[in-house]
Amino acid sequence: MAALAFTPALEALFPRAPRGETLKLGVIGTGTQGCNALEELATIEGCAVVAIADVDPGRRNRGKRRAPDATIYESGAALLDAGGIDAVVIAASTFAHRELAEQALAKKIKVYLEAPLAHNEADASAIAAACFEDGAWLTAGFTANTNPVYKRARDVFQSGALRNLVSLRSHWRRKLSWKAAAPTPDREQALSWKIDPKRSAGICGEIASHHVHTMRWFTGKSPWSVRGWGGIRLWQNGTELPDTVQLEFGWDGELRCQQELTLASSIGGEELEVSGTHGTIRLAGRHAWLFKEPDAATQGWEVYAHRERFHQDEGYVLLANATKLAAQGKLQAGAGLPHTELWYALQAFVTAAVEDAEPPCPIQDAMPSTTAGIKAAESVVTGEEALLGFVG
Amino acid sequence: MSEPVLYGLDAMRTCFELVLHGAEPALLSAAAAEALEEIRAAEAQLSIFRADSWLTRLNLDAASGEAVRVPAPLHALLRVCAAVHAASEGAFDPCTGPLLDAQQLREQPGIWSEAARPGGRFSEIELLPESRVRFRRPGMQLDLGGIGKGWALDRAAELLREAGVPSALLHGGSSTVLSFGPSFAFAGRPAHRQGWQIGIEPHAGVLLQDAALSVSASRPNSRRPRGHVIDPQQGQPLRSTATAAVIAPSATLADAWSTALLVQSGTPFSWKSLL
Repeated sequence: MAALAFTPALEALFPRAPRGETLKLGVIGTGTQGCNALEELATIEGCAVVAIADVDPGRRNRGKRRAPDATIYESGAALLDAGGIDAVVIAASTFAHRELAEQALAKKIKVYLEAPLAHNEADASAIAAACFEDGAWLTAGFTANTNPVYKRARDVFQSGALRNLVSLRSHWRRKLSWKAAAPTPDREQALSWKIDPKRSAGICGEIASHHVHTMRWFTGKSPWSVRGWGGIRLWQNGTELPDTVQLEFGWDGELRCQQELTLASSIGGEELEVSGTHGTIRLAGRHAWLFKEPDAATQGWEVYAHRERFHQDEGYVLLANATKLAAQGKLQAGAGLPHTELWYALQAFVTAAVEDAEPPCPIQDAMPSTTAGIKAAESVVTGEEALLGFVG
Repeated sequence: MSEPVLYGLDAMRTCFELVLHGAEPALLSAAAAEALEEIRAAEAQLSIFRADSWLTRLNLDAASGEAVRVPAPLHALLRVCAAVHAASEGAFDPCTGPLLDAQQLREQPGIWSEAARPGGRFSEIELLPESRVRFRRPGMQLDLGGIGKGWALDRAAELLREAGVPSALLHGGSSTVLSFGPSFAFAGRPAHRQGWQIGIEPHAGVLLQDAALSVSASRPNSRRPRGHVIDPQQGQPLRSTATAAVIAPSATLADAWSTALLVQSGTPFSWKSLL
């Protein structure tokens, strides 16, 4: 079977800087994701991080190392009260999203809200309501639709390359305890929110929602039901939340989307697959491939693809704009994305915020994915199928 | 109090190990997971073998002479490089990577810009405000292999301290070692009141406490008559057998200075303390 790697157009790999003045940014939450955001924002033209906040002193230190010139606040509320920013990246704990997003939106500060939106439906609905107030502007941190290689793969999908859909499936595997390390029990408890069912929908909320979002954006359909199974396979750290789950979403007609997510095993990493009668598209962060069935018709663009070995299969790597990339000395970076998915999402946010354009991932797009993750977590607990309340 | 625990990770083409002690096992385990993740991240950020690392992005984007924005931690590390480069009168120079590859001195070449030209000195790199970097000589490229392990260990140690781990011994490939807190009995060896006893073969060891030690060596042999460390002044690999050891307040400094000392000294064994 042939594997074709998608490489997007040059302009998508190295997007233009936004026009206008520098966007003054605040970043709330400087744990892992907030620090990742600070590192990416430092390389994005058109913005400057002028303020950071975290309630934990250790995390504040991490943030300060990444944004040494920023003013530091001990809480997100203090940062928002201080003013002096045009926009804010909220990368705080998911259970704190609602309060921070409502406060920022009320002050007409443009918001990049890490995904999922919230850990329960009530908070997600409250954030959605705040987004519909006059002057409110929010984009969610689901990254599929700003990832250039995913966009290229979706173009191929939409051209009919897979023909009839057969299955959707994904996995996410990391060997990682979500129990945080801290010098005092209070701080440890505060930082270990991902394993506290009162403050988190666990692996379903934090991870499944992202896979649902990518599949929704890719296929243009939303799931109508979910059923989940799960348990604790490794981390006996006092939580009732499962570290391993299998989820099955009812998708379109009889089509199902299966997800397997675990914190107990890392082999295989993260992949999403969309299979059809004429081929399979595999998405893996900065990379995507098309595996063609032997009876699939040639579309023409394969002629320009390079050969690539893929396990026992040999295929062609598509290098769009290879000549231009080579001229810029960037050919080696061509096989995968030169930046992270987060970089592209933040870059799109900065550009849209500066130009006062539509949010790259508006609340209407983010709500169903967030809800699906929350309902999946409920289903794992109850063992019952949950209906999702939205279709198509 | 629990027994010391040992964690390991393959990164930067070597083995990193952390030995932690002095807290509950759950805290040590969670702190170790974060520290190992930090080492993994440091590798991903500084690797010249990955197309998507910070360093490869800088090498590709700055090769034309354009001023490029980089993450603040990379800018800070490059400032350390500039300080050691100046203080060692150029003996430490992270611009020698393409020379190593041009002379086929390592098994896998780095990913360089198409415009890369071997040569250029670190003094020709401008570290500008707003976290920007400019290569004054077009085509010059950076390879932070001579300082990266130390940087990764310092970042890991910082997380461990912040997490409340009272004492630890960390090493990257046995050549760069860092300790903080009191030493403790481990692997059949008793605790030593004045620190960890670290051997530097074939020479005597040192006592290490709340400091870092790095050892660089050039070992040409009949199979590989040229060493893998380039003398930046000559543009050629060191040809004599030599070992240099440096003890310093941070692993980053120890790592960089041990390379510099190896190039500078010209003697079979040299030693320097920056404490």
